[in-house]
Order: sequence, then structure tokens, then C-alpha cells
Amino acid sequence: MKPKKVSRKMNAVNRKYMLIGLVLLAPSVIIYFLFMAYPLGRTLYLSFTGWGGFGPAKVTGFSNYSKILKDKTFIMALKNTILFAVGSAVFSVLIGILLAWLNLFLRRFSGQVSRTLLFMPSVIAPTITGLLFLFIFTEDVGLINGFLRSIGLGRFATAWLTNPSTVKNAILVQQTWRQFGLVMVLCYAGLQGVPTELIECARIDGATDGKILWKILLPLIKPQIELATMFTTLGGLKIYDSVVSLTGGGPARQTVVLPMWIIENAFTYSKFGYASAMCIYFIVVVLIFTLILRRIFKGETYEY
Amino acid sequence: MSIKRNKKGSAERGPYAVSQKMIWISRILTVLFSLAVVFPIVFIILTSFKNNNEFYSNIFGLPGIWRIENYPYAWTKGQLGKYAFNSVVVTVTAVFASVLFTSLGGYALSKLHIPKANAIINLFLVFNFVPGVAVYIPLYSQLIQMHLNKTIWMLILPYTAWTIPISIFIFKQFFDSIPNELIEAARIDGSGELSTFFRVILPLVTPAVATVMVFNFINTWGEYMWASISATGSSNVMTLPVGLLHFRGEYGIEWGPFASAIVIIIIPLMILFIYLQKYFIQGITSGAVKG
Repeated sequence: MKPKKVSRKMNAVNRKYMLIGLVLLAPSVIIYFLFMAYPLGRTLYLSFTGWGGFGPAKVTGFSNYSKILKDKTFIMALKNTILFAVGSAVFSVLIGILLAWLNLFLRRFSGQVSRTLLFMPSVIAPTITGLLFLFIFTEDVGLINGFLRSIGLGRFATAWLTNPSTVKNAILVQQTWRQFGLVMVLCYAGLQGVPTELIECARIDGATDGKILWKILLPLIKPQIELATMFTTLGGLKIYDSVVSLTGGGPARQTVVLPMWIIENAFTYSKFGYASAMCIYFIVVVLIFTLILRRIFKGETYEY
Repeated sequence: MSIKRNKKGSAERGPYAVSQKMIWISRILTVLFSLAVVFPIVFIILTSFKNNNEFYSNIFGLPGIWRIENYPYAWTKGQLGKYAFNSVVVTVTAVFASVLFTSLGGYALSKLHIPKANAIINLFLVFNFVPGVAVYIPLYSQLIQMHLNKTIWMLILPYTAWTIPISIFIFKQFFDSIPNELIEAARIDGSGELSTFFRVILPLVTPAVATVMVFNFINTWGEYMWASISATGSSNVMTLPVGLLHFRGEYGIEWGPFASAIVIIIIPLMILFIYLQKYFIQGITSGAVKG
């Protein structure tokens, strides 16, 4: 009988702490509910209505959803969003891994300096990155055109940001510039964890630097590569700020991205129901990408 | 042993740097990429001291005359002081509120026997996948109904909310790593759960506080999308990113002062955050691992 009594007493103490705990947790839950979870539920509801901002919302079922699929700007925005996310993720992950690997060959001090420099863009607000690249890509006074003219290749100079065939690449360059340092820092942290004995043994067996990278290092830092890929891809899907400040979605909506078209429909045309349905599509796209990435990186992880 | 060792530095460099060729390839490529990163920033700094004439005629070179007056001009003409004030108030309030609430929440979920604590954390993290834009429409009308539009609360409250999932997750992880005995020992002096928490328990997770602060500061400080929507109602709630684009719209042709405005905004923060990058990376690592 005695142990049971003790455990009941413990339970009473635990219950007291649980109540305190619920009180301490309450502010976070309430604020999150009020400004995220509840509005999200409202968005889902509005997506089935034709609400225009005034009066009661009229439920229209799935008509928004089917209308959106015929919306050419939406399709273009979706394509651009995916292109920018996947394109910039691929480039920044490849460059980031390469630089993380190369950093292993540098002395401690020069390695530290280069890592700090390469990481810098990641702490600059995306709006400002867009503006920095405005100075680079602008037609008449931009850095690139000035450079091309000064080395006598002026015929390659173009209006990078208003030429439909170059503007998307400009955004990809800008987004990659922002992200690869972060990938490098994450992967470098992983590489540092690889035991040096492993590498020395491989050398004794005659492995080349390339072989060591391919057969030992990359498999061992798979978790870090996954993290970096997740971060760059999902971050890229939400790209908006830097596109606004670099191109504003132009020329002629060539670089429109999903958040841009959602905001324009909602806050310029007051098509709240329609924009809400686009938000739901957007969420689904993000979820699909998350699942795809999980799939890609599934499989054994290696311990050392 | 057939390992070829370099005369010097190989002990410092570990087992990687055995071939001179790879060392040189690394040096050249890292220098090239570093230049690619630094160049736009240096270019902006040089431009910030030029006037338009000089900018058009001499894009690359050092300014002939260093026009320091661009800086006070950008500051007053662009009303940067006002925007900076808004940004500081909004960011500092949101970050502190978030640290206060989520440290308590993370502690509660980790140590105070709340049932289904892991499920609660996972729910937060699932919601965190949702792009912010998905709640703007109802949120905007909700804030008007609360009579909070045209005040900076329109920014502070959502910003606080959006940082909660990652922050509470970081705090819970840090508290999980603290042994229960330590918490129980801290309680013994019996001055109440809250005061024990702030005097004894929270100082145990100072790195978590730093991580949450730095990570949330960077994300909140640069936020543009919601800030620009909030600012359509009133210019009194403009933050720096919004104000800067506004500045571009009005005085966009004046490249020099425009560049000065950018320099004023990025350089102090860059120096600060390069110094604190460890915490920023920790935030990403802990946030995305679970997410």
C-alpha cells in the first residue's frame, strides 16, 4: 500500500506543476492562435466564398479553386516560384558544398576569414539584396554593363532586368548569392565532425581527394546537406521581398511570384475569396515540396 | 607510412592538405567567390559617396570627391530616422516578447509534466510550414476590428506570433538537456516557480536565449511583406525595408544618396551579425531539423 500512496502524492505534486505549466504555456498558445492559427482557419473558410470585403461572405464552394487553374498569371507565378526555389537551391547547395570542402584545405585563419565573408549575404535583409543587385543589373549604369563596355564587349550588354530572356536568371543569381554561404557554413560544420583518422586511413589505402569527398565525406554529411536543401528550397518557395525590390514582378509579369499575385488580388482588387483559395494552393505546394525532399533524402544515414 | 606530409602547416590543417595542387585550387576558388560576395557591397559603399554625374561617368573608380554629405541628406530626406525608430521599436518589442513567452512555454513543455508535450511542439512546427502570406487577409481585417491598424501593434503582435514555433522548440530542446535534479535543487529555496525560473533556471540556458534573440532579430528586422501591407494604411508604421523602397520610388534617380541609405542600414547590422553568426546558424539548425 505504501508505494501507491507515495505515487499518488507525486501525482498531486506533478498536477500542481502541470497547472503552473499550463499557465506559463498559455501566452504563447494564445498569441499564436490569435495571429496565426485562427486567421489560417478563416483563410480556409474564405477560400470557399466570393467575399469582396463588404457584407457577409457568400459560400460558392470550389468555384474559386477551379477558376484559379485557368488563371494564366497564377500559373506563371506558380512556375516562377518553383523555378526560383529549385534553381537557386540546386546552385546554392552545389556551390555551398564545394566551398565547404575547399575550406578544409585552407589554413585556420584564412579559412575563418573566407567563411565569414561568404556568410555575409545571409544576414542581409532580402529587400536589400534585391536593391544591391539593382545597382549591378540596371541597364544604363549597372555594374555588369559598365564592365562589359569597359572591356570592349559592349555588344553583350543588355537591359538585364527588362529583357525577358535574362530577368529570371538575374533573380536566380541574386538568390544564389544570398544563400550559398549559409549552405557552406552548415556543411562545413558537418565536415568538421568527420574523424580525421578516417581520412588518414583512406589516404593510406591510396584514396584520392576526389574519392575521399565522394565516398566518405558526402555520405557522412548527408544530414547537413538535407538541412541545407530544405532551408534553401522552402525559403525559395516563399521568395517575395527580393523580387519586389529587384524587378517588381516585371517586365510584363514575367517574374511574378505566388505571394505577389495573392497580395495583388487581395489588397488591390479586393478579391479576398479568390486570393484565399490561392493561399491554400500555395500551402499545398509547400507541403508537396517538403514531402518530395523527405523522400529524396530518405534512406540510411551513416554513423561514425 | 606513405603519407606525404608538408613541411609546415600539415599538423594544423589535418589530413586533408597533403597535395599542393588542391591547396592552390582551394585558395583560388575561395578568393574568387569571396570577391563575388564582397564586390557588390564595396560597390555600394563607393557609390554612396558619389553624385549622379560621377556615378554615370565613373562607375567603378573611387569617387573623385568624397561626398560625405550624401549621408545626412539620405537620412533626413529619406526620413530614415523615423523608419529606423519604428524598426527598432517593433523588432525589439517583438523579440523580447517572444523570448519571454517562449522561454516560459518551452520550460513548461519540457519540465512541468504537461501531457502530450511533444504533440504540442509538433503541431507548432507543422503550422510553421505555412507561408505567412496565407493568413494576411483575415489577419488584416481582424486587426482593423481590434482597432490596431495604423499603430505599430499591427506589426508587433503578428511578428511575435510568427516567431513562437521555432523559439519554443529551441527552448524546449535546451531545457530537455538540463537534468531534472538541477531544477528540483533550484526549487528548494522555495520562492515560487516564476522567480525561481527567472533567477536560477533561465540563466542556465543563456545560449538558447542568445540563439532565439539573434535568429528572430534577423528575420523580424528584414521582414518586408507584411510590413508593406501594414504601411498602406498609414506611413506612421513604415519600417526600414518599406521606407527604403519608398525612398527608391521617390528619389530613385539619385543613386548616391540611395546607396548611402542602404549602407546606413546594412553595415552596422552586418558587423554585429557576423560577430553573432554562431547563434544565427544554431537557430537554423534547430529550427529546420525538426521542421
